[in-house]
Amino acid sequence: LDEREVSGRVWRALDQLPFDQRTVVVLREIDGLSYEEIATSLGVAIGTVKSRLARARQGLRAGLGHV
Amino acid sequence: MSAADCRNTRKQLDSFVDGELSGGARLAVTRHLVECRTCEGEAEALRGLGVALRAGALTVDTSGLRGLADGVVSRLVAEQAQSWRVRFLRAFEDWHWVMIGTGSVIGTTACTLLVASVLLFGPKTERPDSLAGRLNNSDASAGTLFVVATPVGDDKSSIWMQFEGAGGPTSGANLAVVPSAIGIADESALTSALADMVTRNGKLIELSAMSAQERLRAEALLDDIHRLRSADQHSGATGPVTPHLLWLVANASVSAKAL
Repeated sequence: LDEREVSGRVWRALDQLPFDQRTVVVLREIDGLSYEEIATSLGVAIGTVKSRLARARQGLRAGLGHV
Repeated sequence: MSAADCRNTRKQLDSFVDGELSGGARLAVTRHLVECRTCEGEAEALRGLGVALRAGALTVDTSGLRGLADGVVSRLVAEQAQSWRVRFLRAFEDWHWVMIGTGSVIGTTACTLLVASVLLFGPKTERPDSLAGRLNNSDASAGTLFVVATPVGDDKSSIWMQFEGAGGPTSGANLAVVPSAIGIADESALTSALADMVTRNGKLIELSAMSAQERLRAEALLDDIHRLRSADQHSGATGPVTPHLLWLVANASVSAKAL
């Protein structure tokens, strides 16, 4: 698979994630916000950001399968 | 390296990849990844996810996420505006008039204290020959009448007369001794007569309230007193005098009337 195909699969997997997990992934990976900034902007604790981000990444990897 | 090390490292792997670990924790994870190929592969997989997401953001339709970053920034600005520091500064921003008023009160109080201290503890600048100086240095009692008269055409040779009470004796340090050769009784008789003319019931009267005749008599009495003093002191100034001021010392206060 080329890089473009991988990216497409990742984004499709992203669409399958719950909204709260999708939000933290986008804010972190695309917008480059720190954990503290994400926590402040969403009004949640930093620990919540960490757990959502970890679950989101697990979900993305599960969606990608063997890639 | 043990399974427990790997479990601990996996727990911190997301934070490590995102650069959110600091100090010893970051160093420990770095050392573990150097030794553990499995965990190093997990870290690379996490980094790869980020790379793929960012690469896909350029090619995949992300319209559903449009505006998310703007909303985040707005939220950050709003949160910052509500921080304690901002609230503190804003609270004092509304107090600027209170601060100005407080500063004015402090400044006024400081100036008042300064002036009061200068008046109380500063040097006394009054001249001994000034009216205040002469009154302060004299041991005149309440009700003492002072008459200040100046010879016509000679403002510097003023006559300073003191009457102890209305019509009372006129003995004092600044009264001249009358030479018996002149033939007039003494200065005491002249000043008693003058005191009777310029006072009514113990109060001073203005020259304008006198009749022309009384005024002429008062000036004549002053001339006589002046001549007596001049003869005693051999000053040679024997011309007519004009009364300028009458001063009554009453209970340490001074009241003046221009004649």
